[in-house]
Amino acid sequence: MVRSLRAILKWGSLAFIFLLAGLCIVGAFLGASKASEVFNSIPLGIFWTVLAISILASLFVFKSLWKSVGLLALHLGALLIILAGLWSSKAGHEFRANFLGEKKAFEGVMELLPDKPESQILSVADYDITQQLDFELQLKKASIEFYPPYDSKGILYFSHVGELGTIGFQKLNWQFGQAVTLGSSGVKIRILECDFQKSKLASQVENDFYAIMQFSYKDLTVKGQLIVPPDKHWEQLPLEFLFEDMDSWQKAGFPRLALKRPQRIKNYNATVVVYEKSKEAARKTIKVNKPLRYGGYHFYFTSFLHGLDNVLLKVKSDSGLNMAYAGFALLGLGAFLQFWILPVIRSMRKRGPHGG
Amino acid sequence: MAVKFTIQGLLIYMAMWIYLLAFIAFIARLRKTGWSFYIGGFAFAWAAVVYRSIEAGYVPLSNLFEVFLFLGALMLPLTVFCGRFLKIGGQAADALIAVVLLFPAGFVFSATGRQLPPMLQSPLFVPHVAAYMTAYVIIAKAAFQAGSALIKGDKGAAHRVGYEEAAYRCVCLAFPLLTGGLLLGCVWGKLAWGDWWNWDPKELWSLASWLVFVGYFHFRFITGKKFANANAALVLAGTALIIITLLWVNLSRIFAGLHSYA
Repeated sequence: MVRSLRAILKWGSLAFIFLLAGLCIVGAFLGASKASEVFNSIPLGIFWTVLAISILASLFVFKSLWKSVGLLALHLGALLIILAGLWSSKAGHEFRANFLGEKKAFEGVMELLPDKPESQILSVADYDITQQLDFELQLKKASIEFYPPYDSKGILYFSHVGELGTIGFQKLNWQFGQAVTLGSSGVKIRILECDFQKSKLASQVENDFYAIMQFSYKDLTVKGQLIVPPDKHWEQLPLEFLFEDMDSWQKAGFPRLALKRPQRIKNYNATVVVYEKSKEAARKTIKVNKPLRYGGYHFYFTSFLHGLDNVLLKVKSDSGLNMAYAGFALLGLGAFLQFWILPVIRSMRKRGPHGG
Repeated sequence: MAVKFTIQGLLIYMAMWIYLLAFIAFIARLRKTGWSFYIGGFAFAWAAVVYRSIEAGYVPLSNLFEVFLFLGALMLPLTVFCGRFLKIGGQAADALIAVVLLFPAGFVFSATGRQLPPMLQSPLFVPHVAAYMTAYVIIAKAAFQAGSALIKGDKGAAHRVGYEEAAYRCVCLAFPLLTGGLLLGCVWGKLAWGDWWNWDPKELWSLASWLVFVGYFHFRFITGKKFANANAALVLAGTALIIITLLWVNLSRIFAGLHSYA
């Protein structure tokens, strides 16, 4: 009986492993979103559960697993990771909400405004309120960090709505003082100045990036300027005033001219304060790779809305995270013990104390 | 083709040329000459890596050019370690593998530098990629041994283990690194994207290759060396998945996802 069970578990585990490898390959062709749906579906939920049970059963049936610390850690780690995956999934959250009464959002977004505490998690799909937190977040400061400029010339894009309603972009290949035509409109642009800081403009502040240009169309000549403030990557200038007698060009706030600073983004910063009962409980500058962890959730910087005034945060539940990390630690430790450390110890024992 | 008429290019081509001479010398059984060339190629390969690090200002593992450059510089320590501690030969093959690994850096991928995007400015970036790349080099050696096992049968040179056993020992050496790379990626994914597993195409290909090696260990545990060819075939299957993960997934738009910047 035990012998047949062992054989079933051995070959069954092997079949499960290769089946999962095959599913991963199929999933890779589906793309992340569809693959996520497939791997979180009910049939796959059953697959994960059976896989977890088979690992658990192996721990009882194969006593040799308990004799090797490495093998034990590897299997326990794998088991914990599968359980953590089930626990932290959307279905896991829904199961606990329905049967255990645990009301915790699986994921969502939060829109933070300066000096306005916020406690509502909104759904990703339709921005409906999905969770009211018992603490509040408030945006204190937001900024973009840039690398040093790789050029002194800015990048200019002319954007307009095409005949099919799609937005077309033209990257302008410009030289100082030389005229460049904007699309097929006949409007010409000539860049007179483009630089950091050295502007003669009154509004100039440190690390502003600016361009002064001259537009010409038929007998009309107009000067324009674009200033990209220190905390922004680019700025736009609506050009409707130039296209007043060209109706087909004027659609939905287009055409526009965009100036992009010749600097790559180093990081995004959003300093957020957490308030519990109106008292400051935590403060953190959220960056890419540095989320805020608080109250059972992780808060991630996602994007700026309307300049730097609003920040959109992604919110993810932390349920099952410690279990997953414990599983990672065991799996990693098990692999190093089993394949690196234990063979060295065995080899040293074989040689004996005098290396013989 | 991206031929490089730069100091960087010169260092890569020198490394490739000297590695090739090492291969020829080993094949001609000129052991000492072979080792001298092999060490020379290794020195040029590391000079290319260091030059790139200084020029870029970061550990060069952020794109395929840098990754292949790094891979080409890892071969000699692996040959020495495997020869000394695992009783695995194949230095001629290793020198040839080093040439093959440096080829994409020398002729295929552009060496244009870039500033690291916010996502790659993580302390987990270097250990995650370095663990994977080191594992990949060892797997390349394992694949060579497995291929030899399939073609020549499970023989080994004097004082050396057979090809199947050599492939197994190489996979044993690589597996903790493969596991470490995968797990570090999970921790990084949680910090950067919100989930420790995102079902991203590259994640799925990586998991598939890891699972093939898990399956290989289970199969070998169940059957031992009874089906040596099947064991070798599994190592080659895992290697094929790694090549797909490294090249096809990174370059093809079919698998666009969170890892596309790589």
